[in-house]
Amino acid sequence: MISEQPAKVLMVDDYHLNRLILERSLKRAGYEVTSARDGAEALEFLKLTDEKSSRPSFDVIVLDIMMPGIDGTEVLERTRKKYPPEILPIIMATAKDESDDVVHALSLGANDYITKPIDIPVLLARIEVHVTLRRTHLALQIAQATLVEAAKMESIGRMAAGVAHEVKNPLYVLQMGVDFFEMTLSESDAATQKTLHNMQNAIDRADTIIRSMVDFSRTEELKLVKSDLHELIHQSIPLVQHEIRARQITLELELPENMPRVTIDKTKIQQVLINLLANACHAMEDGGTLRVRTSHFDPAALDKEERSHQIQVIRNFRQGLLLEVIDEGTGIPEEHMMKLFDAFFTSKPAGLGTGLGLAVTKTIIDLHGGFIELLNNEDRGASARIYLDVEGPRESGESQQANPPT
Amino acid sequence: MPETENKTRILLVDDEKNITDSLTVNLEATGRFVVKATNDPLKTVETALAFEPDVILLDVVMPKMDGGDVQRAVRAESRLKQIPIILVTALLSNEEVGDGSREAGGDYMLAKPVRLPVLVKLIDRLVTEGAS
Repeated sequence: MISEQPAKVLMVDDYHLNRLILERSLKRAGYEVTSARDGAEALEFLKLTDEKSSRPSFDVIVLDIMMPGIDGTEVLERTRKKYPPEILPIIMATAKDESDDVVHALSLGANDYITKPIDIPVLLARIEVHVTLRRTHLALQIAQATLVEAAKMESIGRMAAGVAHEVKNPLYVLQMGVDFFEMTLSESDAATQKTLHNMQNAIDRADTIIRSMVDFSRTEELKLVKSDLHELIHQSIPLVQHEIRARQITLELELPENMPRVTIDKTKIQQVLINLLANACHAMEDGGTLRVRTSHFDPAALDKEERSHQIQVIRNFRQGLLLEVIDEGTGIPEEHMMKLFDAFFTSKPAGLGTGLGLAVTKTIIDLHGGFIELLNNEDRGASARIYLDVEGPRESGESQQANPPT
Repeated sequence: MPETENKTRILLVDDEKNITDSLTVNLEATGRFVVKATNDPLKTVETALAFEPDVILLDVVMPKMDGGDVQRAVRAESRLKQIPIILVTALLSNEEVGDGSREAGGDYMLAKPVRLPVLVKLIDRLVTEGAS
């Protein structure tokens, strides 16, 4: 039994008749099959050197050990350098009396083996076992990551209130000091004024960080109002105008006229807009064009094949709205991709980022029942895409299956 | 008539001496306030009865007795219940409380760190409202 989308099998065998038979049998069983006639072709399909792709293009590989040129063992070794057995299961196909080969392959990270001539029902059963195992593993990984993140959020929330109190009291004393000198040294010289000004800036900065921590710890309440998103975008731009001007960035707005009013918490979505716009500006130290675009989409018409998790969220929308912030900056390094939304993760120099901007952004979008993703553009720069339901988040009691996926 | 009689009388309640000291210095430096401070929230009512303040400035988070408890104790005392209370909190931001006009159960809130001009303005307003 195959669940969800058909699993993708890469089948590697140098004998064309084997390929033909296996390909037909696997396709009949509902798999999507790609055949490679030797090790070199297999490696090509696997795109191991493509640094952009962190997920394998296949769900399972059936790999012949004995092949001319690059043999199965070598393909196995090279594949394992990128993908561990739980991410990309490999079943080795081997001649009957080659137990040494089997032991060697298993020690190199093969998940399983099958002897030739291949017994098709046995092969199908093994493939299914490994596909299921892999899916279970992925589901566990996601569940674990979600739990870890939830635990972290909770501890940050608990910490934030305590830290806010402990840090704000000394800040309060410093503030009183600055205010005192400003009051009593009214005729002070330029150096004194400058010093007081710097002290005030330092207090404001510390206060801002504390405030974003507190914000982060209690994002749960939303004040939902039907709002004009385009108006909100126009209102948010002046707040980042300084960042835009300082880098001579050209701002382009693509806001179609027939956009319906969206049910959102205006203050929180404005916070999201400012975060994303400021991040985009910070990535464009050498200028460029920053585009903000909104569009309408039909949730039911989404391509089911792609990115199943977010599609699940988005397909439940009643009316889809996509908000994009597209920059021409330095892009996002692959190694940062997984950590972007982690609290306290920052790629900015010390003192410039709190590491909370995107974590808060994601929390806010999650609360709206929406979805956010950050990705690198084809040519240059990165895009933030926010998917929202025009009608706002569903009530907690409301069925998530009001529009069941077809 | 002694000079202090024209001045607004402020009672400060905060468990941190640093804070009450700084506030005292600042408020007195304006020349318009007489300030009394206690760092023990349990002594609020007793101190207020003796000092007869026009406004009480009260920290929200304190050990032993928090701002809410102190507020209730003050309100329970007939001779004190008319005195306006300003709650000072570290748990809200300046943007959220605005200039203190946000009322919480009939009282007023300011967020730490409070700027002196904001505080003075709110005190003036409360005293004027109380007198009218």
